[in-house]
Amino acid sequence: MMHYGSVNGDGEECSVRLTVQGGDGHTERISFIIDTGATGSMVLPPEIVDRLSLSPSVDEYVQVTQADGSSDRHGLYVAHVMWHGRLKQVEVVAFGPAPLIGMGLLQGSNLSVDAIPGGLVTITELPASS
Amino acid sequence: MTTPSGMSYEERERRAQVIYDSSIRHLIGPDDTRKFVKIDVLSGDYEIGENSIETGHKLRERRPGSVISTFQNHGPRVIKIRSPRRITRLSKTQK
Repeated sequence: MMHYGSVNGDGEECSVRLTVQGGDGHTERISFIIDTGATGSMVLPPEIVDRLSLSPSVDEYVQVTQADGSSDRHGLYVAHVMWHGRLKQVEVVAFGPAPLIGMGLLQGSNLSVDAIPGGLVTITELPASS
Repeated sequence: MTTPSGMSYEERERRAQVIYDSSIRHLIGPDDTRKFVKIDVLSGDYEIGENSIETGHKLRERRPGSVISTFQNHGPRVIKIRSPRRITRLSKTQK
């Protein structure tokens, strides 16, 4: 099972569309920027977290730091995402205007990027032994 | 910012740090620093595992009503995000 995405028109970011399942069972297709410097699995704007009726994680809040050094606490939730053909449970930080996926979700996958405007992005599941 | 129990985030982390230093730190070896340590700051009970969600649920099942803090790499868990340029640009255009 492979996920296909693309590099944006100015060649600065790559993204992939994924299906996320909310707490009430309904799903949304969401375009995520791929942030290989992010240590978590997923970031969603708070309004999407509300729309999906996501459940809070047991620890509710998490400290988030950004590349500019700023740091603040944000709500932590649980969602299911269709990943390599299976529903995977992930933690979601409610933060910012842009959906992101990070290295937490990419663990166990190969990420390939044709780093040109409009280039192809592929995410492939690695064998379990890798 | 408070937990549903009314405890502040700062107080939760302060209590968790005391429990971690006294009861857990010596259990975390060099190869375990990326593991998730879930600490109930009310009872002092804790759970250690490689999956954050599953580890938290184990502790919550054992300790209903718990107030849970997550530690990783010998401190409160921090998630890093590296894409502020995009976030900044979107924020400006939304104003």
